[in-house]
Amino acid sequence: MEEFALTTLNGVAMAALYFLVAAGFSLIFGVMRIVNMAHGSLFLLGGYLGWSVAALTHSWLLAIVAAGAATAALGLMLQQGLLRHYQGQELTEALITIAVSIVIADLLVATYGGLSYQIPAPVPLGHSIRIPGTALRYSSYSLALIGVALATGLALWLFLERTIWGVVLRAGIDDRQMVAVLGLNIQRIFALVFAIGAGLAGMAGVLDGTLLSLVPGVDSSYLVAALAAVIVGGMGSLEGSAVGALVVGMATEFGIGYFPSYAEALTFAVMAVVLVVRPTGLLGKAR
Amino acid sequence: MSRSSEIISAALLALFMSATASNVALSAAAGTPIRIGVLSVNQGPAAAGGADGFRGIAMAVKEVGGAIAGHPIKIIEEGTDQTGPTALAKVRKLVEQDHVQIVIGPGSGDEGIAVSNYADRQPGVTFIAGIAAGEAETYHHPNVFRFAYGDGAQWVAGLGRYAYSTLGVRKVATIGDNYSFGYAQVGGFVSEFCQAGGHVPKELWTPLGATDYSSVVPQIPSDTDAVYIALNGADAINFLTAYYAQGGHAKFIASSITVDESVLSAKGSIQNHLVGVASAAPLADTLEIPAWNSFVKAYKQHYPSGFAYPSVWATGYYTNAMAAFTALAKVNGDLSGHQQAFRAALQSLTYQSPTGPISVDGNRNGVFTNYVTSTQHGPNGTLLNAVVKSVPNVREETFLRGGVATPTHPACP
Amino acid sequence: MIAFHGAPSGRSLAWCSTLLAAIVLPFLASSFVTQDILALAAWSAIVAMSMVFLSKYGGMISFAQVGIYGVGSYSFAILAVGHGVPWYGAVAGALVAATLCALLFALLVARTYGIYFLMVTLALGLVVYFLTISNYGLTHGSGGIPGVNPPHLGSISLAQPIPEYFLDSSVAFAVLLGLTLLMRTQFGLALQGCRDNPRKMRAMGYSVMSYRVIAFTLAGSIAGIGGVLGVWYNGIIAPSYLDLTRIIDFLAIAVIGGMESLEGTFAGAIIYAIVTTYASSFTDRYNTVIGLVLLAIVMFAPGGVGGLVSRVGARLALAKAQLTPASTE
Repeated sequence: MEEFALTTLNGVAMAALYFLVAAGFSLIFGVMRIVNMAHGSLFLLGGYLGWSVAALTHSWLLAIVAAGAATAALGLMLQQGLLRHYQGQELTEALITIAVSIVIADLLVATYGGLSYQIPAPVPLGHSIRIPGTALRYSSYSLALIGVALATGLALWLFLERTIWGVVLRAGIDDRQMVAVLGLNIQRIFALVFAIGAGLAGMAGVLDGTLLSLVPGVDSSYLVAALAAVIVGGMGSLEGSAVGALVVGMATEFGIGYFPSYAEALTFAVMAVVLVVRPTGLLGKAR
Repeated sequence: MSRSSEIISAALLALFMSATASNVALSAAAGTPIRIGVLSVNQGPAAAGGADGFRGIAMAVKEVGGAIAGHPIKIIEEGTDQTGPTALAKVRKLVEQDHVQIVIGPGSGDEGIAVSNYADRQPGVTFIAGIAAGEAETYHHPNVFRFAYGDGAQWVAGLGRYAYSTLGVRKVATIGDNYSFGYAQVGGFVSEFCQAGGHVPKELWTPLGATDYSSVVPQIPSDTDAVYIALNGADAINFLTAYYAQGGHAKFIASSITVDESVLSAKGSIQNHLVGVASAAPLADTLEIPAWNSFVKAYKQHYPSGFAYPSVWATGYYTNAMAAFTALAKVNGDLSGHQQAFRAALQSLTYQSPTGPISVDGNRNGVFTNYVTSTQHGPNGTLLNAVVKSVPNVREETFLRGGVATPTHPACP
Repeated sequence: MIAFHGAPSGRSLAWCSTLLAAIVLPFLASSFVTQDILALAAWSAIVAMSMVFLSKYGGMISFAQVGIYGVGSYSFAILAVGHGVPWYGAVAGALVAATLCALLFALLVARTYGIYFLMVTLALGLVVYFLTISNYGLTHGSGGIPGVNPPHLGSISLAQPIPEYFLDSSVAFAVLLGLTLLMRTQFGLALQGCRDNPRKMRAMGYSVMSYRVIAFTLAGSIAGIGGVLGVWYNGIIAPSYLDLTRIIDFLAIAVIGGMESLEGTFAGAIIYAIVTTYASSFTDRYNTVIGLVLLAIVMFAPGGVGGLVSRVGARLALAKAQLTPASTE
């Protein structure tokens, strides 16, 4: 029973990390129809940058802010410099991000080598605490991670639901032409969304580097996890990313806990089942 | 269809130059260079170790003055990403395009399977493994030799018996990476430990490259005397992180790869939990034999920015290269006649390597001295592996009696 | 395409010279170029063609083709090496397995379109990869199944450079010819109709779903053919032949050749083989080089080599027509 509870909690913590990666990925897809195959690379780049900043300044907070800002800026450059010229050419855009991801991954190996990097957790979060009302002890960092994901989700939700930008953005997801016809500046929104998505990926990289470790290869594993999460949850939907991340997080943890040799295949089996039942994902709109 | 022809002919035409230019004939006259291809890793998680492999080769070439019996040594290096497909493409290029006569490498088990398999199609070339340590990799491949360091089970020789008789451990649970090298590293320990009288009630296998081990930790039985870990690089780091985040306090025994340089020099501090943990490997940082001391000295002198001590990559590649050079010197660099003389010299050679004498058995697989080690603090906050015990004459067949290790073999629940 | 209609003699001349080059080249080239550039390119082109065929005629960009190719390779290896089935039986088994796998995938994805289709097929391709790692009893995990050998025809081993080249290139050419002819039939035209205007086709009584499923299944069989030739070439099959890097490799071949050009896959495969083989001789950062080459092609030559050649061809024909205005009528 305790084992089950712990695995569930681990699933939620993993889902928190997946959500931060998947939400940006999904928003970018929803608004621009871009499958950002460089999303995992931005994640890993953010993590490494965070490590460097933390090593220099000994400040975890500074690390996460710097990594988020740097990857947001890079995402903006990627969108403005390369992708903007190919708007609407979905395959071309996906291919550009693939090429960029190959280059980033290679340059990261050249810079940081193949060793594992761990970012020291901020001091107050380095221990385990008792979960109120139970006998369970759990890592306070993982609990904080769940909090960060919830707060980020809430902030994104408020942004989408309560601000004028958000209204335009949601209108853009539903009907891009209509927004353009209304004379709204969709370009600025595209740029903003890409920057937010990239920045979230970079911050998630730092969070992952603190929870687990950074090493070449996690870029593609998180890209694949984000992919699975948005397929399960439904493309372009914030709630969908959350639900998808939760499903994938649970599948990952229960998989490795109870059927470890089939852990990764299990995630995708769940995805295939969802596809059969609802081709547009659990919360995706029919297309 | 109309433009097919243009496209194809354009591409084919572009090939003519390289096609004709690469058609170089080789003669075996005296003084002709000996062409040796080297395969090591330069992409992905093992890139740092792989680079050390190339260093080992360079040290060996320097040591023999760049030539053997008047034949200059021509080294052609190719880097891989530690996967079979890349290793195969690179070895094909080395053999078929660069016409190397000897291949040294590759550095990992899956690559080794692909390259040994390819060796069957190139009987005229001699292949000497880098540190690829798949089990039975040299069997049935008469042109494949492996001095340093046999297979992954041999790397932990002595550890099972040491755990039983010296550490007094009777019941052990294991956790290993779910691939051939993981099986060998667990199998080598388990077979010895079982023979000594111990029991292994549970063997856990987790996917190679898994990130979060938090849900694996509760699966580890709490009623065993120790937990044997056979996870490599980032997997080991991630496992330890999850384990100590949940307040675990079991006694660990570690396989060679769990305490190798990629884990001990990771950027972080979780590996400090490994201090005092028993392990085994074909080398140990604090070996007190003159050959090792002078090898370490030369390594540090040439590569001040390398690892604190030469890794198993540098030492293994160096040893295999030196074994090849020594055998070549015995036959005056003669590689004619399908390299029969050279191979016979390899077969009968006993090379005094930095870690002790090394030779090959009837299956052309290494027989060497292995070391039980203990992880200790080194200078400047580093970690190193100290020698506890040496285990001479480690042979592969000891571990292969019941067949190659799998997720369910050997076992003694 | 129109440009060449006025010059049939030039076209057949080009065809003849290509054919001649394809026959003569392996005898002039080194065995390395014959086997590790040309033969490799020929079977790689088959896998890429299954991708380009779906994209060009079905409007479906599938990243699952490498997974299906892997099912073909694995089936052959398991049957031939594991169970000692004779090679022709194993080939038949491999093609059936790849086709069935493609049919299963097709039924899963036939209702999804566009960029969504791309993502879902990518995920399905990765399912095959993860299953081959985890199912140790069947696939021997990450080490894979070595010891796969192509058959001997009489005294000729198909592992030899020249026989392997002629086998692979003639199969690839047959696939190209077969697909091109098929697309001129009623079926082909209907499939293209489903690509361009599914609503209209549905109104006309066509089952768009069925056409998509059939096309995807057919492409799967083709990928399976590539799988058999590929495992003969490699002599081994392992999960790492199906991972994300390899998926991108085959995609790069299709993109360099041009996603709208079946015959372009040959050029794409040759160029990719050359770049990957020789870039590492110049720099350790050869992956950066590969990424930049891909980026340049996507950005500056979106039609790939196929598109480039047809553009140049059209311009030449135009220039010719302008130079000799009287001769056209």
